[in-house]
Amino acid sequence: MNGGLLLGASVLGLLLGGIYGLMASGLALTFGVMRVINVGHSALVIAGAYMSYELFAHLHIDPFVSLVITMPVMFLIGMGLEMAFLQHLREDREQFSVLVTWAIALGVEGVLGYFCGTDLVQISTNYANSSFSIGGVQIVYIYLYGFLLGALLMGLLALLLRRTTFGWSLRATVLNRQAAQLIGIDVAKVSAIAFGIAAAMAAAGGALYGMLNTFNPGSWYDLIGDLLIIIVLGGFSSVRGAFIASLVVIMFQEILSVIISPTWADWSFFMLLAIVLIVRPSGFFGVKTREA
Amino acid sequence: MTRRLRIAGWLLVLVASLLFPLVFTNPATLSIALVTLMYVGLASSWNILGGFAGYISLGISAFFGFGGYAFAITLHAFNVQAGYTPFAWLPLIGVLTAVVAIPLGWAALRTRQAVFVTVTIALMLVIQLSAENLVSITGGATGYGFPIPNWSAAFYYKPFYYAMLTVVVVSIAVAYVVRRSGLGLGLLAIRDDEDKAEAIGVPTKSYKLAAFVISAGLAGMIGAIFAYSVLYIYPQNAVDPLISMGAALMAFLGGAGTLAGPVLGALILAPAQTELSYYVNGQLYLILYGALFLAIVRLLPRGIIPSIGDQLRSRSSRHVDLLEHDGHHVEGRVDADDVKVMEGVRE
Amino acid sequence: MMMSVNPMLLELDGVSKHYGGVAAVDLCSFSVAERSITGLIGPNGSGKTTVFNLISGFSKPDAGQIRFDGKVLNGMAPGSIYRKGVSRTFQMARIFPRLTALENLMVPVRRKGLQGLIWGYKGVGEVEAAREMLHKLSASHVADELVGRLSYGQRRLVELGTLMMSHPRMVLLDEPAAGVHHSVLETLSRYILDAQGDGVTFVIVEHNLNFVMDICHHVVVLDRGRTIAEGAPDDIVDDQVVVDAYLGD
Ligand SMILES: Nc1ncnc2c1ncn2[C@@H]1O[C@H](COP(=O)(O)OP(=O)(O)OP(=O)(O)O)[C@@H](O)[C@H]1O
Ligand SMILES: [Mg+2]
Repeated sequence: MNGGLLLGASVLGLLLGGIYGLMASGLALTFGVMRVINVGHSALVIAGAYMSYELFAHLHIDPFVSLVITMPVMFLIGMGLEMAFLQHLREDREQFSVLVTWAIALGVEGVLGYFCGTDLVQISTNYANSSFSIGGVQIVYIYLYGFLLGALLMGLLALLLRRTTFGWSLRATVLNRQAAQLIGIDVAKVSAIAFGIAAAMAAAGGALYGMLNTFNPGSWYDLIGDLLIIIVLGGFSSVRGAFIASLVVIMFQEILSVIISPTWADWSFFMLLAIVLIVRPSGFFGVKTREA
Repeated sequence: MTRRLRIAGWLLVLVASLLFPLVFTNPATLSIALVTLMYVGLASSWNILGGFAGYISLGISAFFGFGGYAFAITLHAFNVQAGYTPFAWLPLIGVLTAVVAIPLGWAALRTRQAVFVTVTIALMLVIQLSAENLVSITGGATGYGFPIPNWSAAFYYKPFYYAMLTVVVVSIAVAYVVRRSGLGLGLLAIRDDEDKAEAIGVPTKSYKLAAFVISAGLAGMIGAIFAYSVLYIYPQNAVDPLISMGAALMAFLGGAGTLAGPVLGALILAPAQTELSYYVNGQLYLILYGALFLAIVRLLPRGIIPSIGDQLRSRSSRHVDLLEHDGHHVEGRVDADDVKVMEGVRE
Repeated sequence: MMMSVNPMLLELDGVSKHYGGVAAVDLCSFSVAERSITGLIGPNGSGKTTVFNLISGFSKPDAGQIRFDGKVLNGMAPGSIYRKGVSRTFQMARIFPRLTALENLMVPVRRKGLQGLIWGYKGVGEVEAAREMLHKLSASHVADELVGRLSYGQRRLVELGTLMMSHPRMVLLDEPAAGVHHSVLETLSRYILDAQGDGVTFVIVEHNLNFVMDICHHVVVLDRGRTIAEGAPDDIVDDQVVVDAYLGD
């Protein structure tokens, strides 16, 4: 086997993993804070991709620049969705949230299809294919920029969570929703903002996704399985876990695709999931004994 | 509701569905009726795990699709001629699907709640991926054909209709037997408080697995008939996430955990969604479907049948309230779960 | 000071449990005689519920040994401990709210193989036994009510009845009297005394000291996870250490 290929695959996997991490961390954040599994998260990613696409195609705004528009807009959309459809969920919140967010995803898919059509599109910037070579490894700039953007946004999120009062309320809510409420944290507000942040992260992820892939409104369905499995592997409510899991899973996938075959690589997510389920199901967010 | 009234209701529905193809002979109508029956069966079998045990699965179309493929491949392997004989193979397909569901269920049921739902979504995706990638067995993206029966267009749907009706009756009967068995009681206890159930000796693991496997086997047979009726199976029609969602939604609309709820929900929603898909384009359909879904979860979170049941119960049992002297003297700590119980009661 | 007529059914030997830096139970030792009613008292947070969690397998001790009928329970799952004959209630009654009282009582009935899978759970014997249990608990009138609708005290009765359906040898009751109307309380003490007469051993955690002094043969006092006193109820009330523990809290 070719060592250079392997190295190339690892680097590619790392960069791509950073981009997936951007998408998956939003999912982990909403689960942690709200106990809501947002299966519609990838639909928000695709919505973000379409926004960047439309701004690029019609107004020629570079997708990295248009993030200053798409991220705030998606932030507001996310908050709106949370307040309209998720806030009122009480009984069996986790399970119902899956149904509700799936319905939201279908709605988003329908709206995108209605306005943007269902043809496959891609955000093709003029630097889309330029690359450079380092140590014999060919690196496409977009992947590198994507990774850097992912790392930057994750860093900002970490600062927000660790250094601000809002971050403190948010982490308290993750630890225990009920207790947070009792110590005077406005859990409803925290949830709405967290959902907004996740949606904004999805918008950024979407811009990158749209540059790297062709997509149409139905593409959310291709993406959601990967994202869900990533956060299961990452421990479900941990943002950091989700980011690390993305790096690991995507690298595993890329390496598998050069050492065995790309077809096998499609299975890598499911193989990892099966291993975790069999070996360490309790490594997940555990709904264990409620002690009296 | 009295017992007799309930039996009469079920018989009425059964007779009506037996006579339906004799009265409405239009093939287009019959094809809608076939899809409706399919959803009645799927929602009822979904209910055995999702309703009784409270383990919401979005993976039922995995077994629906598996059954379809297994049927096509079996018929081909044994060179079964088109016509009625294939239907005789259905029980085998059911058993086969159930057997395959054992290890999958074992792994998936090591998780709970949200993680379980997520894992069932992955299960659906993995079956679809297998259908696409195991080209030598499944025919890959192009799919797999069934032997074509030489029935006239006017007659075509009738055999499928009655075959589906048979499986649906079996599904409801199985759900009924489970509901009134020790297994059913154990599943309901798991739904309410799994740790407590386990702590008082309910074999929760085997009960959950039994429910998972039974519901998979039934879905497999239903998928087999559906696939045969459309004569061609490929990854997208075999493993359709909208089918998983549909079955769950219908059960919720009627009332998950009740026997009649999923049937009622499917009878209302399945024809409506098929009609809708004729009149509006795909995009609008998705939007309306999503909106309907949100409306149901929002307005009727417990479903139609339980809501009616509550109405009846609160009328007939008002005297009990008078006996509850100590209800107002609760002091000390009230924890969140208690509050939840209370809220559930108030609704 | 221990009752010596009967053999010890339950023995705790230097049992400890830490949560982070907190020693919820700290080298705790005491024994419970067979067919006795033992009170386990102590100020809030003294580790009583944790002791129950450890005995019933809901959490695992960090150190020490728990023996039931001479056999070590450490590390066993709650279900297995239950099958050995040790049952418990929870401080906040845990019942199956969407089942009726009668159905609640039938959940723990042991069913084997096919019988569990297909046979109706409303087999005549089971229903009769459950009805009789409800009758003993003066709760017959709520048999067909969903338990989630019952008052708190009635739920406690249902919880206890459910446990008793599988004939446990020892029952751990966590604050059975808290928030319960005194009429229900009378039913409860009568029931406990009857069952004890039939050979069941009880350990009761309770803040209502009158209730404890009325029905217990033996009292163990915990403070900060340690056994600070034990003995007959009358001796305990006069014990200065106990008074200090309660007042000093
Ligand atoms: N799961 C847990 N995690 C962390 N700390 C715990 C846990 N369970 C109990 N503790 C701590 O252990 C100590 C003992 O608690 P425990 O509930 O056993 O007391 P208790 O005697 O039952 O009190 P009460 O009379 O208020 O019910 C307390 O300080 C409590 O905060
Ligand atoms: Mg306690």
